[in-house]
Amino acid sequence: MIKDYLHIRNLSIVILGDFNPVIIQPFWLLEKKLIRELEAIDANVEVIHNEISKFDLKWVTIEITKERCQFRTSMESHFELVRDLAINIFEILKETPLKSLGINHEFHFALPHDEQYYNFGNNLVPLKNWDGFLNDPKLLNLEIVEAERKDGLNGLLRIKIQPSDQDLPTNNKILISINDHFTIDKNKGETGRKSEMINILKCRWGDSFERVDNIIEEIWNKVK
Amino acid sequence: MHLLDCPINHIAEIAVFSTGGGYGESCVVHLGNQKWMVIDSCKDPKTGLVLPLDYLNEIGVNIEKDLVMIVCTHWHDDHIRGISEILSIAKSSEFCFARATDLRKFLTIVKMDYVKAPNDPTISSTIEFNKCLHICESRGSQIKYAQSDRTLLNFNIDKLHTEVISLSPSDLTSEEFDKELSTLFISCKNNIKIETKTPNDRSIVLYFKFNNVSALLGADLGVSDNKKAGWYNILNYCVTRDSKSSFYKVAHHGSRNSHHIRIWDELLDKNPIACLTPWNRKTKLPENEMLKELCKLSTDIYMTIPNPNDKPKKRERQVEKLINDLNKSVKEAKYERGMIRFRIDMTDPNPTWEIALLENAVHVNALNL
Amino acid sequence: MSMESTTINEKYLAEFSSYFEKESSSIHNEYLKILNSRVKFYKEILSENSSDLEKVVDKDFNPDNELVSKGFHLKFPLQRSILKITKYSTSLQKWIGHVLDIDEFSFTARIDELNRTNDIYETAEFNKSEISSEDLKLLEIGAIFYWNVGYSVENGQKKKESIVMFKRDREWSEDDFNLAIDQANDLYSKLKVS
Repeated sequence: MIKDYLHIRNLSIVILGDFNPVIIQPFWLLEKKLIRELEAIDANVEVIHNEISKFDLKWVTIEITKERCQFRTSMESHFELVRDLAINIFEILKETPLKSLGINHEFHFALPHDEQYYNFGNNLVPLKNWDGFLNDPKLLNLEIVEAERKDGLNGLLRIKIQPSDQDLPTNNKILISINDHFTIDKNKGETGRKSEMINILKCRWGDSFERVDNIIEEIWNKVK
Repeated sequence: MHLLDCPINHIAEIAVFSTGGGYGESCVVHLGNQKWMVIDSCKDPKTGLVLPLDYLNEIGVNIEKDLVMIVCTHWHDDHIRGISEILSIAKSSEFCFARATDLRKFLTIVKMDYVKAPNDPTISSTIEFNKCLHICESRGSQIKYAQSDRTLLNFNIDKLHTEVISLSPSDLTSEEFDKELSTLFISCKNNIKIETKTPNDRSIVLYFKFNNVSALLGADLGVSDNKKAGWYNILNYCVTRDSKSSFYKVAHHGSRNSHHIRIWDELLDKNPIACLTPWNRKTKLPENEMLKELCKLSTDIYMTIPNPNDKPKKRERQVEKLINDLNKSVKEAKYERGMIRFRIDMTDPNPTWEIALLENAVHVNALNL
Repeated sequence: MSMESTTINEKYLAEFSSYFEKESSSIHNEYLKILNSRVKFYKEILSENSSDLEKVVDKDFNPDNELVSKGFHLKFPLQRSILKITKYSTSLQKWIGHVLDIDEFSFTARIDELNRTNDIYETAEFNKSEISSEDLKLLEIGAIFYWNVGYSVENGQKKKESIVMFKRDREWSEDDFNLAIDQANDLYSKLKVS
């Protein structure tokens, strides 16, 4: 299973909407009892500004601009906490309009053998199609989109495969990024859109992970 | 399942199901004349099969027409799983639960728990209960309150007279629950599973009369310090119970807190048929010492399934090893089924209970305790 | 480089003070200390004569960003940057648990696998000493927590990890109560009870 070669798994929750970056910052989160006091005190605050805020709580990095809010973590142990934090923030900030949601999964793999690495790229995009007119072609990036979601929700699934830049045990490093994107119907109104988005985070979280895990395995089964 | 058939009209039946103590229990009762009742519900955790529903289907009962009442003896995870599924099919059924003095407040607590996370496994009992309420609402069907000395059902058809009477909760218990609801209301939090402090106190003890035979199902009722609650209230104040029972489903898995010699002396015949279901969480019930005591009170003590020994769940070796290194206490709640069917001829002038032990059920007196 | 950006920060400080009304709280003061040190840092790097300026200007910075027009050139990535991840954790198994029983030194919980495919559950006992002091304040019967078993890696050093994290949720708002009450009232009015 490809999961045997997985070393790092990142998650980010990205929400597009209209934000006031100044509001969401460590001591506000503490005041709302969403994080521990020590986490607020030890937070690594890069900037808090009405255009942009960015801070790191050790288990999640939060970055907010006026149009985009991102919760990002490399701590697989804390994925559910990150989700809970996002849900809680936007349930408290009832007036904040939200437009769309992305649950973005990143997998950094290190394949043990060069041959596996070559075959991975070659089976994804047969390089013989590029022979003859290119010298020693190699696959660098691949992006595939599922424009109509299988679950019937609005949005899409975007898969990007490229070499990984992380320090991993071998040089045969692959990054698979899957953007599970949900677009919320504008006709629902602001309250409806927010409810739907929060509902997706609460009720579709497990499905997103299951889908993404299946995709990873399917990719591997096709190319190994 | 085997040896299963639908009883004929004058054969009353009490079928008791349990799941190894971790996944709940249920009773299915034939009241005579193809009228049926389900008390609590449980599910096979692997397949999702609702055990009482599966049984009724297996023996060919017309659930839609003939299941006349579903009782939720108390709002506890192990008594309620799958109950909404049964109610959704049983279109002729009333839904019965313990009287709430302030129903509006009670419904608010249910809603407060439900809105938190509809998919949260920790609140499955609330989800089930919420579904049942909405089925009743959409159907316009009756909800029946169970309380001390209340006749829930009364049939007299073709010389077969069946009565079902609830003997609990007492008035005092209902009032105290109302106060407890108020505190839950105030202390409600999103990150806490709502647990009422005394669900067992409110559990519904049922007294069945099948012509000249009576049976007592003890639910999880305990012996309270307060004489107007628990078993003391039944012993001292209940007036509808007018004869001793020859069948007893032992209260609260045979726990010491639910045992009182007066129950055996005043409510039951000498040497009654008694049935136990196990409980298995942090503590295991029934305890061996309690079983020995019960065996002195009757030679016919039956248990749906002996308490299983829980072991760690089988996982991939690497994962198993890591879990074992970090926390050796992790145990899987084992699922095993047990069923005992008790039948009695309502028309027999000297009726005796016919007992069928199915799946993992045991005759406790025959065990080497 | 104009000094407009420092004005922005001072303006922010003023906005922040009014927003965060608990002026006497230690939390607020603590935060202001951090913010002041940041503002000082930014003032330094934004000064026209600072040779540090180039170090902090991100050449890949989005030129359409409003901050640039305000002269606020700073190196913080808006897109996913190529950062080496030196600290991460992996999960071999995760559960969601709720507390069944609490003793003097430990508590017992029912735990359900997060990726469960059926309703089989497990029970486990946890020592209070394994729980952070702030999370211990959340320990009560019924409290919900996550438990992760896996590995943590920091600067290449890998170690086994068992981590219990109590769920933190926002407090119930008046709207939440009103919604539950409205739903309950609606249901109450439609139910037939005898």
